[in-house]
Amino acid sequence: MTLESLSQRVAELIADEFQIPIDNIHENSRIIDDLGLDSFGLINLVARFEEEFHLTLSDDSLKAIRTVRDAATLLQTLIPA
Amino acid sequence: MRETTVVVTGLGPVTAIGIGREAFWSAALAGKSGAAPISGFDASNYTSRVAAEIADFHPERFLEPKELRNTDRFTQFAVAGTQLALADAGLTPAALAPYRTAVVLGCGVGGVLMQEQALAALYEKGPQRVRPTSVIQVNVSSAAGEVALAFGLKGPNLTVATACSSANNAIGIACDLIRSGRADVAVTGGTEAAISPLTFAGFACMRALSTRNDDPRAASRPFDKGRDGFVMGEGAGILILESLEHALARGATPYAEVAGYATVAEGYHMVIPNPDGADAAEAIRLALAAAGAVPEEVDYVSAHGTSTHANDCMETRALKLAFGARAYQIPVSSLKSMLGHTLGAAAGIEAIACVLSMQTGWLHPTINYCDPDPECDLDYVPNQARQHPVRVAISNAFGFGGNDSVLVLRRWDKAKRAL
Repeated sequence: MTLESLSQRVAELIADEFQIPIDNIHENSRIIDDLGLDSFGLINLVARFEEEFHLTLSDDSLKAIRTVRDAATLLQTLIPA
Repeated sequence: MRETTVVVTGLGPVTAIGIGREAFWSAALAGKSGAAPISGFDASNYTSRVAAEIADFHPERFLEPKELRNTDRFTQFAVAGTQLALADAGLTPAALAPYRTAVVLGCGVGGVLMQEQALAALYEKGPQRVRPTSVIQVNVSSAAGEVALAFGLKGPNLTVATACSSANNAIGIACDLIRSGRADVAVTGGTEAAISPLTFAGFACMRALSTRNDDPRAASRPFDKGRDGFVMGEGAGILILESLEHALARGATPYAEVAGYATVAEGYHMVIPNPDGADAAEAIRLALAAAGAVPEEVDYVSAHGTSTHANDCMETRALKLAFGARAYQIPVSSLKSMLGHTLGAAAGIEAIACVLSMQTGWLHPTINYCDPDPECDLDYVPNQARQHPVRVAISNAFGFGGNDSVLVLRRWDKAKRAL
């Protein structure tokens, strides 16, 4: 998947999980600071990623996720080509 | 020193027949049934397929978007009921002293809906696919915790779990916290959302549920000879209690006084009540004594009235033991005829109904009462609301485990108290 399409999918998952209008979510949106998720939200989002993309995210890799694009970048490295 | 008087100043019912004080009470007086075919899950292979679900509950009206997926339905009901009750009391969270405001909620089952989803994920997809926050909502105390979080209430935060009598005990303990000086205000009552595939199957296999699937609205018929079990309900009944001093200082007009309560354990059987009614009668006597009231003063009984053979016969006997010949003169009605059995929320909603009877001078009926049972021969306010002044009411709640809890409420009479 391209980074762009992955970013779009991440935005869709966030919109669905947290009832946030998709138009309010951009590539550069910061997941906690801009979209208002708390630590619970983040852990639930990671669970959604793991289910959606059939992978396991390490605790360390989570720390790299600040924005929607960060999440997409991380996922791109982990999803088998 | 005079004992602190504890008054009810706010009501927040979240029920299958109405959400909020006015909607709930007009439906209750109209004898509206909340029962219908189950919609929350596919019940086609269940023996009982009837429940009183809250079809028009919209959690997004009461909770922030990010809380919606993290909270079980029973927690959402509690937050909604608290918001309604605080508004009804004319209180805003900002007006409350955080550490002087307690939250004491009754709940019988807890976050079973989320728990079952998590179990399904565990069995179908494995341990990595269990929703992380489900483990929090399984906890029966998560509703009280979420109420504290949503409204910034930092006083004693307790959850009372005594099955179907939970909310009466919660109200009693909230009253005790105010009387003992540990809080000035308490958010109390009960909440439950347990119409889940597993819980429902358990009650159905126990043969405790009505199987009148072809006529859901007639399925809950307390004290009627044709009753065949209870109908599961869901909801919350939240009340705001305050010390009289606190209420008057802010210019509030109390609805009623929490006069007293008592709770006993039957020690007889886990689910069958002691059929002679002696333990429930003792709870009534102790509650009246705690309230400084005598049986002759009682104008109304809000029955536990589940629509099971065991409860309705036992409760009728208990009332005769506690009130003697006067039992035949006291109107007794069951809200469960309309709402089904909301388990840990029931006594909270029923306490609200008692308070509204005092306020309005009207009793809600016991609906679906058609065929008198010789074993249940009291005045059950059949089918039609009745105008009847209520100064003192008792509200019965009897839970699995043999927990009998009785609350005594007294109408707030401003003129008399001014003397």
